[in-house]
Amino acid sequence: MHGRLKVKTTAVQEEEKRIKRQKKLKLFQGALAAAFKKIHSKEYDPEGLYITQEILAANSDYYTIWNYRKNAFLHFKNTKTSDELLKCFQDELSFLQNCLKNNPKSYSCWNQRCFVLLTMSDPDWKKELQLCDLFLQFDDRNFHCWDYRRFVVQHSAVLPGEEIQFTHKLIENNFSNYSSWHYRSKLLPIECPDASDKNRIGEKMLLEELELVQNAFFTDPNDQSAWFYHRWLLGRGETKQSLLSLHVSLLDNKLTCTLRKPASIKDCSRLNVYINDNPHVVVWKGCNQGKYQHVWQSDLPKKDLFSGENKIKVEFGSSELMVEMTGQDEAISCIQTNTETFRQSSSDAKLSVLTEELKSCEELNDLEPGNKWVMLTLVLLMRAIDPTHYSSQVHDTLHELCTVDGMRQCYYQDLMSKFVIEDHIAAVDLHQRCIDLHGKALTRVCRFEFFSTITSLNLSHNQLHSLNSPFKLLHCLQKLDVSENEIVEISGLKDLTKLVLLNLDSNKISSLKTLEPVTTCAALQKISVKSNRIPLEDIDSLLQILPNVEIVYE
Amino acid sequence: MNEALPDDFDVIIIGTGLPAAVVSGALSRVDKKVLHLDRNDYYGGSWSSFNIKSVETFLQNPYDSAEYLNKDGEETSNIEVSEDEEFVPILQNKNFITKAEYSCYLKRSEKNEEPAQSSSPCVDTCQSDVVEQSCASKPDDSLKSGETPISEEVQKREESPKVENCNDPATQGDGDSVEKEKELTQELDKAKTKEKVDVSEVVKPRFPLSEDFYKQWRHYNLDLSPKVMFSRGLLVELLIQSNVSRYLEFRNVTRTLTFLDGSKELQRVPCSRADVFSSKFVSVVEKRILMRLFTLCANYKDHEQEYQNFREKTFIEFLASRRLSLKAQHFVLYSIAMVSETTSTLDGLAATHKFLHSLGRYGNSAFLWPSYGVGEIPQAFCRFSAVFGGTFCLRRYAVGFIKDKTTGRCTAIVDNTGQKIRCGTLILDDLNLPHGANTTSTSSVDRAIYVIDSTVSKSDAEQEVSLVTIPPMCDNPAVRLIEAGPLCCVCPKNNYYCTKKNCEKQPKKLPFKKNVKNCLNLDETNIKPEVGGEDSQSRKPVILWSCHFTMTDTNTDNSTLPPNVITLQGPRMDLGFDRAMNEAREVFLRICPGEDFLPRAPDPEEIVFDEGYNTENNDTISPTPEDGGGDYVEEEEEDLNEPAAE
Repeated sequence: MHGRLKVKTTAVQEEEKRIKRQKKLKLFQGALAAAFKKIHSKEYDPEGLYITQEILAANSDYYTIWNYRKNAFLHFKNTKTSDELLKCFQDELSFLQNCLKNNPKSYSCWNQRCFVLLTMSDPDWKKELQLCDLFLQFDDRNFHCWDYRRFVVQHSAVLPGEEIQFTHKLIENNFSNYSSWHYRSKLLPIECPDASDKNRIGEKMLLEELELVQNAFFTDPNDQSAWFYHRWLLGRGETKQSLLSLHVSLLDNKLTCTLRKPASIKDCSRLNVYINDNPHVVVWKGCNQGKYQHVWQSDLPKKDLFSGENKIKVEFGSSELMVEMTGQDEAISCIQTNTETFRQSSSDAKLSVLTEELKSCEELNDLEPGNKWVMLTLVLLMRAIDPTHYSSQVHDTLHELCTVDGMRQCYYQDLMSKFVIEDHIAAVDLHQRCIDLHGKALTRVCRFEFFSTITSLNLSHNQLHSLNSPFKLLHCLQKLDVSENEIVEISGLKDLTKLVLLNLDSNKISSLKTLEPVTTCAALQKISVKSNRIPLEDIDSLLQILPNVEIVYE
Repeated sequence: MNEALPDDFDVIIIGTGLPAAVVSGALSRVDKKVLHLDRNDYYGGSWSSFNIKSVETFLQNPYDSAEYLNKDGEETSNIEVSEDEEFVPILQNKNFITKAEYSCYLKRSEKNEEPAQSSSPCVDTCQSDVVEQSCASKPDDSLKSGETPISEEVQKREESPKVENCNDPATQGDGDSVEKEKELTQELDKAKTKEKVDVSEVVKPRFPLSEDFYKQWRHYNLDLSPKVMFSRGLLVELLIQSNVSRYLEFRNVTRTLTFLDGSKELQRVPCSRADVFSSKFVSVVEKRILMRLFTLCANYKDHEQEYQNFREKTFIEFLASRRLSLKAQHFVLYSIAMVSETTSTLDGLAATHKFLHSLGRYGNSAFLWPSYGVGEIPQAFCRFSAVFGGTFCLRRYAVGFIKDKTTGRCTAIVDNTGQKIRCGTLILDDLNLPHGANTTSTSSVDRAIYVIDSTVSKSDAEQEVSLVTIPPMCDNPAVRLIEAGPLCCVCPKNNYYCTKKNCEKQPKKLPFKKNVKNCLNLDETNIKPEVGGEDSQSRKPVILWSCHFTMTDTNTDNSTLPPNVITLQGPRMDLGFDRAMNEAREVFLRICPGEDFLPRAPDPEEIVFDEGYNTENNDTISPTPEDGGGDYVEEEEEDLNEPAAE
């Protein structure tokens, strides 16, 4: 009928498409052949640019082709007039913009753009920044574009204040945007640095930022990007490197220092040893493998210490520890721990700020009971403000988190274990050399650096699953009780040279192989493996491997 | 257009209102032979958009079309009918626009250049278009740097072509663009030179002259029935599904404003997550409570336990029980659910759900607005109908139809040239009433259109369209306003907005105007010279031009009509298009039971052009109106089509 529409059948359309595609493929392959010919003969001309442009328009990720263009531009730099060159570069920029429109996450395109901007004379950085604005408007999480933006900002000396404004705009649009928050955390310390720490932000700005991020998590407490920014704001203060303990043993002529943070051999050059106030040069050796270590040992000169009183002092920066040898074989000196010992590691923001934050989080928790982010932040804030005062609340909240957020139950249990251990360390005198952590529902052990001088450690009646932490840091350890746990493996119990007694009763060790690490403990006298799942024949083998060790298994 | 038409059609549609246009498109799409007539020389009927000149002409006489017969059908003797036939006249609905008036408040010329001391302006309120008023300085100085409407506009237009070329009026290709470009450059130059003038010393009027205002008459597209589209409403789905969206462009409604009791300013309603986050009017606790409510409403059907105790109670009681502050209750009730205090909980939840469901589909908004005005939508569907073979004819209408006495069915129409055209079904839009049918006026809406010189509420970001809800206050019923900025191609440099209002009880006119004006700080008496240096943030928008009219909806009782004569409803006062779309679908299914309602139109590459011509270019009658009332822009609206591909 006149004027009536006839629609092609699917088969006809498919066929048309197929033919079209074939044609396209042929063209593409032809162009590719021509382009490679140019590449091999290093022939840089407008025709080459044209061919490669057609190829890249179809596939903008072809970096070999982009490289040809790079070389061509470098070639033109020597052969063309500056006006011609400018035209070339401008064409390339607009071509790139088209490519990016089709493929905004192409590494090659962004890379080529950087190249053009760096190669051309007098680039228009302002325009580039606008381009970033545009692309981030389409996809505010395009990290390629964020990278490029930082590149542009770096080269065009954009003021951090303007960039902060920009992130603000994006956050207002959609605050589920890690990139913006992160960029802010980089810019704010430059714009309004804290007087005491140049990596942190000043208090006035801090309060404003806290208000902003508070708005975000009150609006949507399930959005984690705001919470992470919040945690950054409240700051995980940097722990200062310092000496934790000093151990001198005349039995094996060793001087052992334990540092708060893992240090490299280079850092050890700052460890100064004085014997009777005389500087003494020593060679440090890590007690474990790895470049960065907590515990460093050195040999003691025998002659200096055979008789009379000797003072041995070790300095690290402003911290120092000293032992006086008055005829005994062994002496230790440890820092005095207290509730402050672990405080700064969770926060360096002012207490009043933290208290305010705690209040608003409590408010949010009332409104939105059972939100894991709120609860976790509450825990961290309470720990930062006053661990002793909030100890039961922290415990309850973490316990609740285990049910609310079952998927991360182990994380919360480990966190609780850490808090328990820290509280214990804070309350105990480490000179006692005896730590009793039995029955604390621990799921892991940590903070070993504080335990390096102890001789006896009781971890029985906990929920430990494995002993894979580096027990070797406990270089004086003689007695270890880990009975009544759920231990399936003990790989951390390697090379405990002083270990005499090991109690592994009532665990879940199931084979001889699991027990192998204890064979490296030279001083071991007694090992108890009652109520485990070790087959009898494995016990027999063990008896043979460790003929001098008393093995209790029944 | 008096040539003879073919004299047999499956369906004849009289009037090009939106539901009629949609039905027309749907019928043509499934190969029905459709004749579509309209007595006016423009499309859309009560859904039209007008420019300044045509709206003034229209308001002076909304019913000026030549009539072939007088309304009482006395001259039916001219129509030849056989013994067993009856002629039923079709009358023009002369009731739909009443109480129309308009005025322009701008002064006419610069005869009087001497500064006059008597500066209190006198406004001639009775249908006058000019306010006589003295002028304090030369019109040349009419720009205040960066703050005057003109320079502000220059800024806006400077930006817009870069951001979206497709919306630049230049694409209309009507030769107007060149002129505009020139204007733009001139304005730019003007603005540049003026910036150098020391502002504090010069006293300048900031309003254009009436003549200049009317020079830009073509740049206005003022809606008779302003509405916005819910982003997930039926109309949007239909536009995507049918591909009719290719004839249209859209803008986001970028913000929702409301007027809080006791506040002097319009406030932005936090509707979306981003709004709630950045709103400074609600505390963090309120933010949480609001967001909780939104989360619940977004899928309230799955959480019956949350509201089962409120099934018998009102929505506002339910809101109060959710610990919403009075302010937040106001936001939700009037601006988000857009219901009243007496609405039941379930209805309120459904309305809130509808809003939230539409939110975020296209940007941070629940609504779309058609660029160039609502009048574009019926035109788009008419065009679609024409593309699929529908026959269109303007300035032609049915004076009546012929009813077969034995079957009781309509067999044909008689048009205003006297031609008899047979039809299977006859559809009449709200402006065409069959004689003798019971008609009742169901409701009437007071509408006003204002052209103002700046936005009702300034903000940092450029606003495209704002929706303003004013709750009922002091016995004044609720008012809803739509403000459209220059980006929407409905006005040249000034914003304009339409107000509409529910008039269940017949209110006096003054309170309505007064209500709006008070809330918005609108004032037409403010057109006077102003001393530079005034804080532009607090400056009230000033009305340059306004019109008021009352639109009455007519319900036709179909039971007295032949079964194959169908009448359609008018625009009514609902904000969206869902009712009209439902009506169109029902009518279509009544005529073509079981057929697809507007299935996807094939793309050009899917079409077989075996006769050597392009069907798209073969419209025998172009549906494009002749003047600038609305031009088709053929770019596909990407935003609309993108989600369709999801």
